[in-house]
Amino acid sequence: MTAHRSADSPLPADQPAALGDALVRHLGAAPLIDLTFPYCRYLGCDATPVRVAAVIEAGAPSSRFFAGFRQRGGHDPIPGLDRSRIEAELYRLLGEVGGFPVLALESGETASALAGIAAEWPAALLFPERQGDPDLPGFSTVSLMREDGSAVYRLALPGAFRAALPDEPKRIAAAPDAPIVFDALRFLHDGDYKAEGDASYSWLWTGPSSHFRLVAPRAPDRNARSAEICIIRVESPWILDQIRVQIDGRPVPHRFEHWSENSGKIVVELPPADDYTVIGIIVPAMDKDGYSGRPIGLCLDKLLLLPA
Amino acid sequence: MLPPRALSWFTPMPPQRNGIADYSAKLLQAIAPLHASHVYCHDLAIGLPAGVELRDPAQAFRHLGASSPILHQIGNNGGHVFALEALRAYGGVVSLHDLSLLYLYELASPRLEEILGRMTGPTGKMGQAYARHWRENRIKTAANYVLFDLIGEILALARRVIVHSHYARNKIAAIYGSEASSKIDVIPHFAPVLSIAGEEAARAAIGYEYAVPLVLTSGFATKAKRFDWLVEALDELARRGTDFRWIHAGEERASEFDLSGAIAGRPSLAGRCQITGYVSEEALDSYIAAADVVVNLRFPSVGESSGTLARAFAAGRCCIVNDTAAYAELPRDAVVHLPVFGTVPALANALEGLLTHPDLRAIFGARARLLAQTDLAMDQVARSYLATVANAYPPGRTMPATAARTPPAAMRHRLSGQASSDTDVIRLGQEVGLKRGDFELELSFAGLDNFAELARSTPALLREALPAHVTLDSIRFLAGSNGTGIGLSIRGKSHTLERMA
Repeated sequence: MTAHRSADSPLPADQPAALGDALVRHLGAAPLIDLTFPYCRYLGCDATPVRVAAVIEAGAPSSRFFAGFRQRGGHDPIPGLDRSRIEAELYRLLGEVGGFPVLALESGETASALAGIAAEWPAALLFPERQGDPDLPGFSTVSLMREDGSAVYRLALPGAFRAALPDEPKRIAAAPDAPIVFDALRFLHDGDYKAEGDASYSWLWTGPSSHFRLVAPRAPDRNARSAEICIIRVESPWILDQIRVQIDGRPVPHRFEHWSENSGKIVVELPPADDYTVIGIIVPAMDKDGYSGRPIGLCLDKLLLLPA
Repeated sequence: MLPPRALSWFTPMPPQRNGIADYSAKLLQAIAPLHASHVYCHDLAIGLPAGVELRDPAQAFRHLGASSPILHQIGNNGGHVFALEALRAYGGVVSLHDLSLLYLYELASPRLEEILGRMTGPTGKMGQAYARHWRENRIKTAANYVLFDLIGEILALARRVIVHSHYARNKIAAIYGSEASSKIDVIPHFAPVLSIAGEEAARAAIGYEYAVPLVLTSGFATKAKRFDWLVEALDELARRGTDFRWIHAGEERASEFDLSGAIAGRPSLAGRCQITGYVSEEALDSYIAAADVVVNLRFPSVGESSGTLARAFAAGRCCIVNDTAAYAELPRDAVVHLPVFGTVPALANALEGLLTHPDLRAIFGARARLLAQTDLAMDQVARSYLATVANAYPPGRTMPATAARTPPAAMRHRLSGQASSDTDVIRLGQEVGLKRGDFELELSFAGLDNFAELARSTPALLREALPAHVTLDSIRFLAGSNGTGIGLSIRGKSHTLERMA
């Protein structure tokens, strides 16, 4: 499979970190704000972000494209923080979330740029550790390291919170070799319809557009090689055989495993991309919902990202 | 020579019921073996040639580079909105299928003022008057679609523009000048290879069991296709005793012309006519190949080309057209031309002669087929397309970045002036309308009395002063600079074209 074009990839995709575990130990149940959309590097971590947001360049084609995406299964918008006036926009976002949040970021450079806000609010900063990262004056930091000693992330807290950090780099477990499961209420997608159900079980109908686009989070601690999209129902069974799948806007082969005449799962290999990943599903036709009359395509309940 | 990068197409594709989708599908079949191609469209794009990827137009920005050759197929319906947006984002070569795109812009523009701004460009004060009527009185007539073509943006953005007739190029040159026409190439509508061969097989395919000649029309039964003339001529023909059947292979469009009603109103046509409703491409080929005479009238024409006509040429059918616009360019020995004035008697006479003289039909049919096999041959047209794209992307030339064409983040344009009379205000208002983007206009009045007098004498002063393509965001009072006067701060946006600035 062809590797996709590389944009400015903020994080290596295959660095494992039981991040949520480490964060909870040090900070308690701090709300995590993942500012790496559309990479969503932290979305597959054990600590589920309370909010996903994007740092955008106003007017960029990607900003226009992602403006149609929403989080929490379509219930909430994905704030786009204009890089040119990020301070004001970040304050607004922090105000909405409240508490002592962790800002999960693309890089040490971004952390440096937001350090002033984080110190004032206050908030913790989490970013991938790289050589040459700028200093964060007034912050205390600790490295979150794999068992093998390779540094993965740096957690930085305003100086007043120094006591929350250990003296030594914190060693964390390697990633478990298990699929990451996103139920419909955690989808980031551009379809019109919202996820239904509740926290224990949710589903989402695609439609009315025949194109349904779903962000596949590139979790930092699990290197997904394939994805499964579970379809629990279609009204017209023939639709299942005519579904087409795209990754990042290009066609890819897929396999469909039937569970029944009108249900099953799409299995698709994820290309070795260092760019963000958008899974597109094209549905040949819409059915009419017998209850609401709205045009509906596929009823999805889960996205599974499977390790190599 | 075309750069080695694949040609990216932005075009609707089948199964969308869109004549240009069918056109693109056939053209792609011819071009794909000659040059690597990808198709960006929202349709399922059934039957793409091997090696051609169907891609998501919304994510084209992830795959297109500065020198990626791009071809947009643009016509005047909603299936082309995404191609227009892609042209704005990436530039490229445009194959322009309609010389009037007002309807496309109505569908593509979130604000009416965007359209009004484009109307007031090439047509000056007439455009301003029509724009005002549209916005303020909701008056929009069929004349708008003839007078305001709205192709200026496409001419400005496209590297080259392909049209299908010299009439189209000349019309563009007349309206937009030589600079615009210098980027136009004329490539005729190709004659496709039909999916059915032979009249006998075609008649069997459509179940035509009559021994009388068959007259065929096709497509949407629009007003401009002059079914009123055809119905009258066929009525005359029937009353003269000439035997025939007429099939319309296409859908009615009763909002434009009540075809069924017109036929029902002519007792002589009873039992001779059939309207099929929508037919597939393959079925249309059969109807055309089965016909003795294909009638393709058009008046007024806006410079369009007819896919049905090209198919009829390929099938060696005898065709009748009006002697107008692009149809006038067709060879006189391959097609029967009728005047646009006095068409009905001419059509009745022509049909009578052709339906009763198979040898005459055969002569026209043979010439039409020769035209299809030479000038309109698919391979010839495909190579012409590639030559145009190659000219648009010469080696070593890099496409200007999209951002370079996109206006930078708007700075608010500021204007101010003394408003002593309504002419002052109108002058300043017109000036505001000349520059695209956000504006703030400050009007200074000598005093409250002066302001009140202006408001009394011309109650709708601002509405009259500001062109129809200007929208208002806010109006607030200001203190006068000399302490006694009064001012108005008017903020809004002008949606005029860049080149008017």
